Amino acid sequence: MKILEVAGLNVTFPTRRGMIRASQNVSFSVDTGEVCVLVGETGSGKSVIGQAILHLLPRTAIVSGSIRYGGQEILSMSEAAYAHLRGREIALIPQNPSGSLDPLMRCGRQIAEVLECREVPRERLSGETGRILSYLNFPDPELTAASYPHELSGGMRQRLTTGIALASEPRLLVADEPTKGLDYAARNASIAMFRTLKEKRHDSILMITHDLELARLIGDTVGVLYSGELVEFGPAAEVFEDPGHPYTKGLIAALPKNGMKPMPGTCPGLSRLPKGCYFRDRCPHPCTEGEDSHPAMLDGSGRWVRCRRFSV
Amino acid sequence: MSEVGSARKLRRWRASVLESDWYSRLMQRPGLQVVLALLATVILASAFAPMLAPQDPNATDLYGKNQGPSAAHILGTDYLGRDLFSRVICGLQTSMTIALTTIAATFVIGTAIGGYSGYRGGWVDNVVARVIDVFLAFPSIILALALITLLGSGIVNMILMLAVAQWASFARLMRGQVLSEKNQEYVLSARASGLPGWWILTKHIMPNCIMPVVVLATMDLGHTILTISTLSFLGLGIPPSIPEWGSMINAGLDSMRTAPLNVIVPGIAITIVTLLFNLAGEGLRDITDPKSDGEGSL
Amino acid sequence: MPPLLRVEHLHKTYGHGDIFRDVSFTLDSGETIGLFGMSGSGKSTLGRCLLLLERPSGGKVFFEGTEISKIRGRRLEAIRPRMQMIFQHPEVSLNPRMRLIESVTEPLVYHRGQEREEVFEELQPLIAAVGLRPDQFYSYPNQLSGGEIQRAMMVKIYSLSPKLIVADEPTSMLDMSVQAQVLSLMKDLQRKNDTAVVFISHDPEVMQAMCDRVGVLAEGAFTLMDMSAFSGYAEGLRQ
Repeated sequence: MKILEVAGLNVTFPTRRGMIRASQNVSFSVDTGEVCVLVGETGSGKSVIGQAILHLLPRTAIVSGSIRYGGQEILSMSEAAYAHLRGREIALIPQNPSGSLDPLMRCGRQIAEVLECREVPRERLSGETGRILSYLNFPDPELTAASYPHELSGGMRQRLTTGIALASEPRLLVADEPTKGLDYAARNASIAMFRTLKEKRHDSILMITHDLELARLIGDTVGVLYSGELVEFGPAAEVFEDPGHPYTKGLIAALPKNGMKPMPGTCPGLSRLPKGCYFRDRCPHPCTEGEDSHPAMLDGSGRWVRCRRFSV
Repeated sequence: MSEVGSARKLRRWRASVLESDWYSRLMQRPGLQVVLALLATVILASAFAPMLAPQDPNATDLYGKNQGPSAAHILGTDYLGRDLFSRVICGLQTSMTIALTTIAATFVIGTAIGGYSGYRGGWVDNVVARVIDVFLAFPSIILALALITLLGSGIVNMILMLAVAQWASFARLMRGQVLSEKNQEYVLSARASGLPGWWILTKHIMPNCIMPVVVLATMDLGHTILTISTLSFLGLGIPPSIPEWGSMINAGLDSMRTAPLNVIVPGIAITIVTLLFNLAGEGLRDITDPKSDGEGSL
Repeated sequence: MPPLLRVEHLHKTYGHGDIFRDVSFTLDSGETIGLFGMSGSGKSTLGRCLLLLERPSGGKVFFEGTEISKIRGRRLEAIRPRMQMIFQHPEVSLNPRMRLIESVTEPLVYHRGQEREEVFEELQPLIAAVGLRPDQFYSYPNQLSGGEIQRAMMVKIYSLSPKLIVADEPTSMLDMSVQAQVLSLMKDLQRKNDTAVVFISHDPEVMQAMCDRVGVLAEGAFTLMDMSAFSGYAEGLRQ
């Protein structure tokens, strides 16, 4: 069963300097119990997709396409109707944990607060809070619950916001850059936490990140974004073992453990997109025929790659 | 030869203005252009005020006191039969000159002390911070009154004493800004390049810290005009014969029921000028900030 | 020939605890030593103490054979150009109100008393080497990407021909592919100029790609390791 289906999502921002086409014809889906990771760098338009799903786009955005959650069309839903979903069935794990936590409230209480909104009876509050904390990979859950946010490290705060999201028993979790700004140890702890969520709870998660390793270790399916569009999508193991799109190949080769080979050039700005393939100027094997036509996603039985040279 | 030289200089100056950032940002803000145009008009008017007044602001006419608007007096007369309209116009010059000078003096003293103290740090900063706290603890009017009683009245003394009474709030704001800016990475980078302290303070820290203080200064203008008027009313500032909006309001309060314009017109004048300065201050802050060019992040 | 940088028993305390203690190592031209630790381990502070942007509580730092730990004022300003730093946050590494051309030419304008345009002309080869175009320098920092700012920083730093560069997590805020570009550029410039680099990071894989040796900071204690010992240590961290 598909918990989330995005079809033909287009998001454009009109600005003084022209139209910024942050998202172009993005289509993908997430199955129930699956972790789907969208990987993109700065300028890929990845944040917009999360914002569109959560109805958090600025009012100036021009949006078209369809987002179906559990079969229901939510992109064109009214604010009032969507309010029942956000924070309850669709929960966000935000990017900047320090900004999302109340500095004057103890950590355990911040989770319990959400439980109270769900009308969990008083006697069961601490038990439920403890249960949620156990998924978050804290060395001492009781101590963490009694602490204030400033007493936790950055990584622990990130995991706490995940706990707050879990407390509402959502059907879909949207994680926005969960490892951004975290150091090595904190990042590993986060990855371990997501693994626990995957294996013990089978949460449906849509993750948006620039962290390739996170995608490789946690994702069931992976989508690669470049200049506002999806250039590759498929099962994580296949995409990493045998990447189809030259950008994906370049990203993997740029990892320090793979030799840190740089790709030349930079991605084209979202307000000045070239004709034809967006990656052409950086591609080691650029296309020559049909230069003006924009490559479509080629279907390779469960894998999609936006490259004319791709074959299964 | 010299004519060609100065014409070229003029062209180069004109080009540098037209290409500068603040100018292009100003061109994108029509509202701000209106505000600045009005403000320029007001300042010009204040310079030429006595010539614009239709009548002598000090000509008394005790038989025609507290009259309403008429053909002879557009806005009526005050409690001594003087033409209100002329007094308001001349008052523009008085109020503007004194208030602007006071704010300028307060600004210079406050930002210099606060800025240096914040940058210097250490025991110097500790001492100055406590001094600022002490000054802030006193209500500024009482402090100014006490100082004027000590040193005598008169316009120059009043300006100086007002600056002494009010510098602390500017200093505190400036010091706070400097304290946070001096640990920014670009300042560390400047230090690492071997640039000396005075260079860093003047070229990096001051320009990035000063705008909030400028906005504070513009907002203080109205408050300063009223403080001046209170002091004048108590006989400790401007002689009552010289037209000044604040003292006109105070003088007109007694006869407010019969001649309300004596209070309302100067009051509206103060409001308009203060508002123009506020808007101009905030607009100035915007056009000098490169971040206001941004398209928004994605 | 004495080593370019020698650190002896450097320590810094803060209030009730040690930020780091008993730090000792040497560094020669062309070499790269890493400073590895998690956030809050004091590695940034140590980096700043090496350049005297912060004062250590004790110990000695020798640069080019002379002890610099206690010098101040003009003498310090004179040697500063030879020891430079690259910072972690590109968006605040350059004065936000100054165009890049002003920021980048500033050190030479001060030290040599030259005009800005003159200095900018001289920097053209360096600008080309880092992969930027001259017209990009008329922008403000907020108009450029993180990678472009770090490249501009390298123009500014290398304009002073430094012998030592402390790189404080220069790429941790950058995307993966940009990191690869910036770090390979750094390596390139280092090789051409025989610069010594102290590379601070929390990412073991980056350390292994960039450094010859690594000093690990944990709970204030400093341990020097060669690369094979370090990879064992990093494996242990993964648990």
